[in-house]
Amino acid sequence: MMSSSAPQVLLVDDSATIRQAIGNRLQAMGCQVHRVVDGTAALAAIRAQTYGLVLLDCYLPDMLGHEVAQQVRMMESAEPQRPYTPLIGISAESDPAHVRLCLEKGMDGMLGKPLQSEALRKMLALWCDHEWPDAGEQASTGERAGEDLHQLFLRTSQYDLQALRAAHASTDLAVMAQLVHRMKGAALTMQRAEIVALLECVEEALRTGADGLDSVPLLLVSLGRILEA
Amino acid sequence: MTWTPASAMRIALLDDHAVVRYGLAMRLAEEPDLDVVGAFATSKELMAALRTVQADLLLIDYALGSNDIDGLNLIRALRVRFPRSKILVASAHHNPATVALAMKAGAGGFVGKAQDLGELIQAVRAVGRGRQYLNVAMVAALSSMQQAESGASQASRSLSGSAPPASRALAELSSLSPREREVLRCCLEGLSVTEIAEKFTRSVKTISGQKQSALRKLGVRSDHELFKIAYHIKDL
Repeated sequence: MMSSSAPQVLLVDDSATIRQAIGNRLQAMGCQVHRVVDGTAALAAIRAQTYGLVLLDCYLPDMLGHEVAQQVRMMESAEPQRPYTPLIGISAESDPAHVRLCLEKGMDGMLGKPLQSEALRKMLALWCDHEWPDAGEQASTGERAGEDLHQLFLRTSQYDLQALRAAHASTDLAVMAQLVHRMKGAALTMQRAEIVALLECVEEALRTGADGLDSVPLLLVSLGRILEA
Repeated sequence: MTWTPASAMRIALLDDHAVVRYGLAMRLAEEPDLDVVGAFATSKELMAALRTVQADLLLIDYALGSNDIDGLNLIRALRVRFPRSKILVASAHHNPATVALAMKAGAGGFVGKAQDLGELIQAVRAVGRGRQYLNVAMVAALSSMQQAESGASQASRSLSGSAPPASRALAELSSLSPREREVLRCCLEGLSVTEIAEKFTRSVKTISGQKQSALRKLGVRSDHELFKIAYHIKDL
């Protein structure tokens, strides 16, 4: 059984690869998808129209996912006639403390990265009464789309890698962390485990601070080789 | 059609195991004040039914590990979409981290699969009437977990005089009224109900009622059990 109208889904992620990959999958499942890159744009979109479901990355360039959630809930309590917006966080981390914080701030649930089609289907059923047959979206995402997505992934990753080199040169740790997070999300979605592993080494280096940063240039060289291969 | 009192609590069951559904429905049917209005194997079936059937309580079993957030998403969706139905979770994952998340998502209570059916019925009645239900051991485990998590920053705050996290968490969980709290505090100091009644110049019946309702909210059945968790509510 399918619901009568296509669910309106807002997808918020700063990775172009994820916006394309997940957005296409949602469309193939019969959704109307609106994609935005950051928290400010997400808030403007939610203010302007009603969404059946919002998928929200937990680490956006301008704010954290739970900060967006908090503002949406404030907006809703200030305007009681406004329908409730279901907000689902997307995070590579699944530690209970983080999940609890997100729930406290107004999110309705969490999904892990990479997003699985099965999980998306469940969310659409839970919140939008939208049923879509298993693997029904496979047929419409042909090889051509897959190839375009791969190109997009390589292009945006190389672009991010350049920015990462520049941020490393000026020891801008915050920018580095944001870029690594975005690259990792994209690599997870593309199931490129070797890239994810290298990016996790960079994350670890960022955590340990000045000492760890010495290992970054070599990691970036390895990343560059993989992306050019 | 079987007879049920006008005010019978309407219960919908969700469990993917047919035998469990059958067993639960049979057991609940023995209680004249409980009425099973449906038993479902999937969340999809449950949600479809709730659009036409009213339920006061949803008794849901869900594979709800702390890393498996499916159950969490389901609880939240049920809570938001069917706000008039209270939620009681029965799950084998009866550990503090999972329980804390489930309660945060909107569950009214949580029972372990190992708990006996008598206790389950008790939990059904409590949650169906809008109270929270967790057993004593879980309340204690939750407050020590929160105490451990809040760590050093909280320690300095409680030194400066405000309530420490354990008792605050407990008070939140159990939603004790100020009177009930007062009575419990006296009980823990070793006063009898008669002595407390004298102290506040109230009737023994009133104090006894407040004590019983406080114990119920804490999921405590006896003075003995109350003293077992006394450590966690010493700053009541």
